[in-house]
Amino acid sequence: MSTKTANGAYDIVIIGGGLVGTSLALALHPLGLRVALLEAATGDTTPAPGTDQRTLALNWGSRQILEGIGAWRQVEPLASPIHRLHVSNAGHSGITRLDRTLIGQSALGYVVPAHSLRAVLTAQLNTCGTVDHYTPAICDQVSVMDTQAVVRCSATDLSLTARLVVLADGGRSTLRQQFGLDASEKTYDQAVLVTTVLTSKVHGQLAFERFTLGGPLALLPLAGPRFALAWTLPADQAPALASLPESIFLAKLQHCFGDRAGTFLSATARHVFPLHLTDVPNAATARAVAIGNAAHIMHPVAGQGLNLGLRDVAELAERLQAAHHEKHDIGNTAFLAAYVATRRGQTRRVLSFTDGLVRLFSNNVPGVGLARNIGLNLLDIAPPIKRTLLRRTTGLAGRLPRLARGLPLQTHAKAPAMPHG
Amino acid sequence: MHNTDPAELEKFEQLAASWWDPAGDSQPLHLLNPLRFGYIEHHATLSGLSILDVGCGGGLLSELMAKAGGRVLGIDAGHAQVSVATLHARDAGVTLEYEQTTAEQLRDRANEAFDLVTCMELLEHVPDPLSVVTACAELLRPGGKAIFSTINRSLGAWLKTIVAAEHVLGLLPKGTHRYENFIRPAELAAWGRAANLRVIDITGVDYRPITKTFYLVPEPRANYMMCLARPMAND
Repeated sequence: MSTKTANGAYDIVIIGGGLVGTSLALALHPLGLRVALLEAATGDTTPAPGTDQRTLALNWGSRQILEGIGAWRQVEPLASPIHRLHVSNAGHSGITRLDRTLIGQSALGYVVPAHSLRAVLTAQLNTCGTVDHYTPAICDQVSVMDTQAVVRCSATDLSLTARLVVLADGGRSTLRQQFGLDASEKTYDQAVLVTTVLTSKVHGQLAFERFTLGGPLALLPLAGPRFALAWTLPADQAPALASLPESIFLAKLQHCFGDRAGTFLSATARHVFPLHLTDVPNAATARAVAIGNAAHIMHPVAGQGLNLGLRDVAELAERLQAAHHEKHDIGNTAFLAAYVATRRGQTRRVLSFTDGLVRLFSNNVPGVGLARNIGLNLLDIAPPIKRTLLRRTTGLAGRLPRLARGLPLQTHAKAPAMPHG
Repeated sequence: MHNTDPAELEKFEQLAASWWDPAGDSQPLHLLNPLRFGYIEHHATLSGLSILDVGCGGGLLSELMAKAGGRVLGIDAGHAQVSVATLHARDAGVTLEYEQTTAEQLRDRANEAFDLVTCMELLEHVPDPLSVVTACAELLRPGGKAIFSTINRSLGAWLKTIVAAEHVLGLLPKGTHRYENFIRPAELAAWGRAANLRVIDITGVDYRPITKTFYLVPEPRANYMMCLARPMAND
């Protein structure tokens, strides 16, 4: 990766070389557009082995999108499939089991270490050769003109013009404000503790979600007898729990979760992240659109964060393809408003679904516990409802863009901009 | 080739042909492999690491570690093992290297250092296990980790691994293990410390005949794994 200080003119400048930004660059690769990717981090965006311990849950839709951008073959050996999901409710009888056969696919989803996915995508970007990758490039000034936007990195003396600027710079996006895209924020009184645990037995690719009084606790199967743990807790309790001696932490986890996954033997370093919800109701303005975490951050209860971001990528890429072939302006307000309107429905559904789950399952009001038991049991005996819920959370609902069907964008085929339901 | 037992080597040469048959003589290895791999990945995130697998046999574990993103060199003293491993990796399209050599020979000739050295189910089959542990330790870069598995020299281990596994259940061919070659965790830990390694973890491996599954357990009663680390240069 080279640092360039030249000026350049592009069709699309993507700000942010994370998973979503890199995926979009790869998705656009077949179209022959002039694309630049600006990454703020220095040098190689792959962190040193073992430093980024986050684990990602990819749904089936995300797998398809990675297939469409040509990365799935490299990701698959690093991904642990989820064949079944066991949902339970601490202190109550409600249980439901969701199986991959309900969606007719070989997995409900996949668990992938963030650093592995990042390494694959970055390597792919470096070999594809059609994207100008600027790093480190901290974009701090933007100006919007009639037919183009100018982005500047004052530290590296870089100035680029683009017909469209895509903000994929994550939850702390400052450019979003510069473009006048307003975010609504909501903080939860909760934090999530993440770690990897070694258990006594192999899990047969079974994932667990357990709703406890403090918040939901998810165990996602990794290779071997290991799980990625995401434990949502009251914000004032999480740091104390994370700093307990390992054996006491494991005993608390065992007590809270039970023995379904075997005996917890060991845990890696524990990290705590505060939870908040960020929503950008109108994610586009003239010449700029926000995608991924720059457009929405949600509670990780249903594991939908990156999945929603990749769905943004698939939808935007397909619309860009259509506009490009028909020689339409890819940065004008009407084009971007149509994209936003399409994405808005799904984003809002997922945001309110996850927000609702959090409130339902963290609520100690009498009756709510009973209602969710009945709910879980009903869900367990009613496959049609299960199927609908699964299609929602596995990214298979609604009209699917090409990439979400696992197909790459085409260089010249006509892609109709279909109306949406 | 010093520090190899010709009779032991011969035993495993004969097994080589069926090494990758999940229902054959190496079935226990296939059942054990996910647990071993999980334990290793838990203690060392494999992606991007340089890994030496000492006593790689047919390459069951080496291939898994390579698929997880490790740059793996598998070594074994047996010619048949290395051939089987090399052929299988080629068929499976997995990129890694194999060589017929021992840890001591590699240490003596190489200026190589690895992020991770694994040495599974080997120590109980060599005349001088201390020599292997020392060589493995010296092949680690500062901050690197070594993971060994072997069998405790205890009554329980004798009952489980020789009486039950070889004679009653027929899980392993008779004569696979010799009791006097088993190694107590305290002995292995002491050899590690003598080679400037720090013990990170000891975890037992248990077999339940009724469900035909292996489990990890906190106590190293019979089979066990041990993770050790070489301190950073400035520690």
